[in-house]
Amino acid sequence: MSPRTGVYICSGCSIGESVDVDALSSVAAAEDGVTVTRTSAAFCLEDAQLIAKDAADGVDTVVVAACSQRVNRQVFRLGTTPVRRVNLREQVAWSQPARAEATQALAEDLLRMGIAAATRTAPATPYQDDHLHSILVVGAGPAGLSAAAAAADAGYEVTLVDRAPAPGGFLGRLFRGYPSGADSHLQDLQLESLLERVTTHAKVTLQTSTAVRRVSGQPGRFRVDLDHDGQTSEAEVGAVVFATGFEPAPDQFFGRYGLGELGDVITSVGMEEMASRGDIVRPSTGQPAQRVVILACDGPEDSANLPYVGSVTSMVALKQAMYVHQLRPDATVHIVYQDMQTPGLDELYYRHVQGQRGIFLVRGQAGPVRLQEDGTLTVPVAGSVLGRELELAADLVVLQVGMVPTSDPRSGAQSSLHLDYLQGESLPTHRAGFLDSNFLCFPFETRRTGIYTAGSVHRAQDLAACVRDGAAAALKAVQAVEKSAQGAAVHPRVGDLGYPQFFMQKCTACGRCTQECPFGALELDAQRHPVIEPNRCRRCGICMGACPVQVISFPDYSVEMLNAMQKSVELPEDDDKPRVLVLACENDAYPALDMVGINRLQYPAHFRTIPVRCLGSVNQVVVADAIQRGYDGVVLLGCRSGDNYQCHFIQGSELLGVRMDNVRETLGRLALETDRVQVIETSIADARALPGKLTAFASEIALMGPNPMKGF
Amino acid sequence: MSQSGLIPLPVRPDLGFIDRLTELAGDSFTQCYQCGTCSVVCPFAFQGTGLPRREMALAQWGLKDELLASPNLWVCTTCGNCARVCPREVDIPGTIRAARELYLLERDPGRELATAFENTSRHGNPLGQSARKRADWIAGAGVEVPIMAGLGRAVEVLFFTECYWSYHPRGIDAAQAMARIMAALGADWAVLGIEERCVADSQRLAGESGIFEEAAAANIATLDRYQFTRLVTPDPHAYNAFRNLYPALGGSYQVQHYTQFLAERIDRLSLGPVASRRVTFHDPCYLGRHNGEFEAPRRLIEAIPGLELIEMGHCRANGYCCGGGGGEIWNSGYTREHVDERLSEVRVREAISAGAEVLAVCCPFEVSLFEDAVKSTGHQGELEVRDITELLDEALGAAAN
Amino acid sequence: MVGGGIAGMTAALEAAEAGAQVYLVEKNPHLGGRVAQLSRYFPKLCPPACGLEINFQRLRDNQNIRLFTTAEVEELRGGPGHYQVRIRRDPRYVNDRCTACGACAQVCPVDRPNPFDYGMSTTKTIYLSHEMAYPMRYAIDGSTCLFEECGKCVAACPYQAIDLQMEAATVELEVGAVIVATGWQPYDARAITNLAFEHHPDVITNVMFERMLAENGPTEGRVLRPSDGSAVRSAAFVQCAGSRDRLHLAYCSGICCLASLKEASLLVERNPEAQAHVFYIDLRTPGTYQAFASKVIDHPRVRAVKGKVADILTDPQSGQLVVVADDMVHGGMERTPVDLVVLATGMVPNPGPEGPLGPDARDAFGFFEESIGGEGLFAAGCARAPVDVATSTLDATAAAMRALGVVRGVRVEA
Repeated sequence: MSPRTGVYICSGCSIGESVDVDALSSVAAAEDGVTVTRTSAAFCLEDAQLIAKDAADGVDTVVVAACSQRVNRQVFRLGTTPVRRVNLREQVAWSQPARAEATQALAEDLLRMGIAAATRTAPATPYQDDHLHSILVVGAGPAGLSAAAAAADAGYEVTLVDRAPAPGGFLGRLFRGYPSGADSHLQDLQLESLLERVTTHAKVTLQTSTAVRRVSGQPGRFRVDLDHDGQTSEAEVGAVVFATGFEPAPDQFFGRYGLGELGDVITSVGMEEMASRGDIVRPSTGQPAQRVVILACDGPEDSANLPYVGSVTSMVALKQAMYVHQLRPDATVHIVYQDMQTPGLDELYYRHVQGQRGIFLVRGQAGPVRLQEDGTLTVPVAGSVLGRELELAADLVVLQVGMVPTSDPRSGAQSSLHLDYLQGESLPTHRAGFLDSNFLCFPFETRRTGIYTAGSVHRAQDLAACVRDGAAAALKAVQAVEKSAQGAAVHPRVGDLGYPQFFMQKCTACGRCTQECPFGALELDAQRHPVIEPNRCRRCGICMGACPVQVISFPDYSVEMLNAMQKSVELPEDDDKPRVLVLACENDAYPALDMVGINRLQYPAHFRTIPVRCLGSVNQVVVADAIQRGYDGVVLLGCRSGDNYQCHFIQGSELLGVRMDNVRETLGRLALETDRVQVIETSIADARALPGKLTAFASEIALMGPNPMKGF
Repeated sequence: MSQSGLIPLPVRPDLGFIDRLTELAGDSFTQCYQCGTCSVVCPFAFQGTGLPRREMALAQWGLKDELLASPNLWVCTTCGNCARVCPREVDIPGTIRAARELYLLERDPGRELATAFENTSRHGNPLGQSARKRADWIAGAGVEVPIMAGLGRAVEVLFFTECYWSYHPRGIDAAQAMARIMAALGADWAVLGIEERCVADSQRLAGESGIFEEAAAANIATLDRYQFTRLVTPDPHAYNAFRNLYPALGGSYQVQHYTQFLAERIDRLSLGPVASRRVTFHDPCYLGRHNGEFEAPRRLIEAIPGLELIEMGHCRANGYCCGGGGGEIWNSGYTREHVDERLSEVRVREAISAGAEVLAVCCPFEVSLFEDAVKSTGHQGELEVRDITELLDEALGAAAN
Repeated sequence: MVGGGIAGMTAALEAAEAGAQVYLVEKNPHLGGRVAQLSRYFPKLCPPACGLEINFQRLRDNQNIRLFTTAEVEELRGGPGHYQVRIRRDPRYVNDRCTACGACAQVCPVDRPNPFDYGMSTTKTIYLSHEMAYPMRYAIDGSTCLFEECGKCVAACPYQAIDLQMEAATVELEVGAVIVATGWQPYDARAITNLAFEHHPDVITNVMFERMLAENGPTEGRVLRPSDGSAVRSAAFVQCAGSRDRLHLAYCSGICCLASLKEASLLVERNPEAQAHVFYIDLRTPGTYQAFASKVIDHPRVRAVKGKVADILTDPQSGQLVVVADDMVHGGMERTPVDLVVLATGMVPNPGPEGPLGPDARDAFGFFEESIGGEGLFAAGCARAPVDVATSTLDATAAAMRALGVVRGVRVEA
């Protein structure tokens, strides 16, 4: 029994000039379950009240056929009554010729598709059972301390753990910090006051010498096994901030500079220790070091080891030159660097240090360090500004070693949350071993919902940025906690209350959904059937797309719905009226189609667009059924995949590619041209090229001729 | 002059040398960040010198021997086009000057400069002419030229003639023209005559601060014996010293370059039409770029009917040097050994490609420099070189006829 | 939340999604700030529109954010937990009834230079800032409108959405915390006299080049010479044009090296024969941007030269632009003829009202500290320091957290 459906067809914004709205009304009225149809010259204005009144009077589900679903969302929000938008403006009136037969046919099909969707939409019952408001912060370095303080200040209980016996992370190993902004003084790191502020906070519980042995569960309720010097304990928290920092790059990266072999070649870490002891000396003799050479180790040869030098190396080199200058004013310091990485206001510190007597900045690439007979170390420098090789002399050579995040095995001190997740115990790493997001706009997009990384394990960044990062990660943890309590999704489908449901009777226990979920939201039970952890879920629907037997659905998004939408399109038998089904992802492709309309560009009328959450959510059966029913082509329109992927569900378009190979295999067996199904990459910026791409596809289809399965 | 030496250059900083450079020129050179802006805008840019970027690196790194051995050290004219755009505000000419001074403390200057220095010390002028003949130019002026010593009263203008206008034939032409202009203005003026000594600002920039200070003491003592409202000079280098250095040495005067003095009074001169010519003006570095005066000379040229003022590509603050400053006017033999084309030749070519028929100047060094260059570049007869006083004199003559 | 660019929007959204009530005040008629004017981001060469679309969707669906556009903060008083903010809403002359149907623009008789395209195109006086403008409502440029003398748009609008009598209005708000994310403006290239910006139409700035690369820009993404519309075959990118320069901006603007590498990369991709020359002092590509930079420079048609361009000439015979730089590592002085010169001009923080957000609260360059004295005022994004998008969004999220701490009433410190 279909729910009572109200259909509201707007004639504003040229829709009325483009299509016969009254005819559309009749089409709507003829559909199952449609109890009310109305038209208006502008449903977004006063007539919005008519819709609200109908909803209050008993309409269960609403279809608004007007402008794009991307606009006027507040106007058409009706509490819990589902609203389905049909795009008659951007994707019909603004991009098709007015009053054409094909345009009318397009509008009718879109309307029927919208009604088919609306009648298969049920309100969601949110999962609200896991709603702890506490946060676990792993790592009590600057980022972790900052995260703990920030979350506690906002009223959340924080458990802060660190496996070291004392908190502070690397801060405890630094002599001084370098300034930020226009200040030019070395900074007292104020470790004690920072620690005091956090450890005396009523809402923070600090546990040192404590490691995380295991984390299971989901945002809202993570179960954490802690190990304090052999004693185990359990904690339950709502979200996690992972801030386990970095280790200095291993010594073996610096063999060419004699590290390990020549006693007077030390690392920047060693320099911090030396400065903390109060004097600059040659380790080999204990005598004062009068000539110090600092190598930034940021040249092409060094980048081979760590392809991200330079986030702090230049500033640390300058800072350490100032150590020498202050502790041993008569010593000289040469800093050898490829590019002086002092962006922004750090430039002022560069100028300040350069002006100090005895400190010299030498651009170039340092070569192997040699020990001379008289004990002097010499450092050759190529690529200098004099167009000639240089040779520096040193009593002490200091190598700027990079920061390797503890998520990278090369750090030698790999840390892990030991996630008890089917997909593995480690947090997925991004490029270069960091636990970073692939998105500049969303630096905390995580593949493990509710777990956010901060500090130098998150990105290559300096101390001040780590502190900010900690506070930022804390906010994301707070959001995860708040949303979990509501049973709502976090970014990008913020607020979505529905989560996957399983028709277990048909499940074949293949496990594919658990593998393809980008977020590890699915576990397996004892029968190897999938179990959803709702608060881990981002509602992308990739699991739904993966399932070979289509057992997965959302209350408001399902294979059944997509199939019903596809089937509600009329497929004329005329050869000159081809039909192409377009599945367009909501983040990029659907908006791109809107942009085409906003720019009043046109494209052929035979495309029928269904918005999908992610191309990864498209089950291959939807495509196969469409072809077998007689669509002349299917276009999967979505965002860029590959290394620089744009999919906010990580791998949607990539997974789709694999599935479409299967679909094409099916087509092959049916002796249909495999090119009838194509994945077309687009982006919002690409909108002007989109009509051309669609027209080209239409031409290819025309050459292939109509789908022989049509009419069967 | 790039060195692609196979032997690496040892970098052993001489901190004492850096300290002494700092004492003389401040520490701005320590903040050079080797961007290369200076060597691009240097008039020697395309002659392979690397001037002055290389020298700033050498100074900054305390590589005393390399720096003092650099031929660029004695090619630089201290024109200041580099400092004008240096993003770190390095006083490049000052640093070059300081390096020269330190050089001269332990080594002898080149032969040409040595001669100029000695002449200045001994005769009060770098040309080596007799001090007693300094006022001889007056005789041919055709008008009365009062001399302070004989005047016994205050004057409005004490005109500091300087050496090239006193001794060099083409300078004397300009001096005499100036005298006629002053007469036409009915100006209340006088010169110092043989009491005048070379201000030696260029010798200072060539590293001989001793000569400069000695000359300053003598000139100030002389000037202080007289009363005058303003000190006017045709020499931008003297102007630079009077304006920027003399006050700290005890001599504070109201100073003008002759073009500034005349530009204020141009409406009082009857200027008739002269032969129609396209004139381009060469901005002298020490009047223009170093001291900010670009308009006064142009006002004078534009006031002369028949002359069309056109500009060269490098003009005003970006004007290229004539090659005479910083002592280079006496160093041309050395310069020719180290660069292919003299700056005066570069400039003459620029004037001609701008379409000029007359190259107007207002610095006493320039007439001779440019007339040489016109010959050496084979453009004789195509480009006249004239001091602005000569053009004004021509116009006065035309009005009178 | 003062400012609706990427930092402002992010802070507003992050705070709101954590449960705070947020007022977002934006000076322009639309959100998105300067990133909406970029063609691509480095290092992924992805379009800003992607992230903006997601943010706009989050904004549309968020009930906790109240948005004021064409609005500026006039006065700020009070202390943490209880600030009084007076906002001036300048008239948009278009009200909430606008459906962006575009009927008005079709009849508007007055063109105006388009600031979204840095003057390289025009729009009608009644305009939509760009195709993705949020709010999706037209606005009228009061400086060029003929108002009642014309009135054609009013007649054409089917929805009574245009009100030419609209006046500025004042709104008083009480808030617990304030985040300033007022962003930046490009440094005026005309001030850099040795770089010929005003003397040749083919000398443009990096932000102008972004508009040229943008598919929704004045050339629809084709890289052409402004002078004659021909395809650009060679371009020089002049780094530190006005930045790291005590005569202009003493600080480094942080992102221009990466931005120019990005632009060079797009140029050689779009114009198959084009050469790109990047002239720099230091190539600032910190952290993981290093890999991106290496990849760009490895391209056979991209050349990076250590040596700043200090002179731009026009060849008197051919009219060709020539840039002059000292290639100090490899060979010395060179003149490179190019079709286009792109000056990588820097970022200057936008000014603001007097008072707690005025000059006294800023450093000598106009930037704020992260925590602007007073414990309830925070700065994020380029109002704080010249930073990239990833840092701006991080900043914004951190500022949102701190603001949340203040608003929830528990002790806070930056």
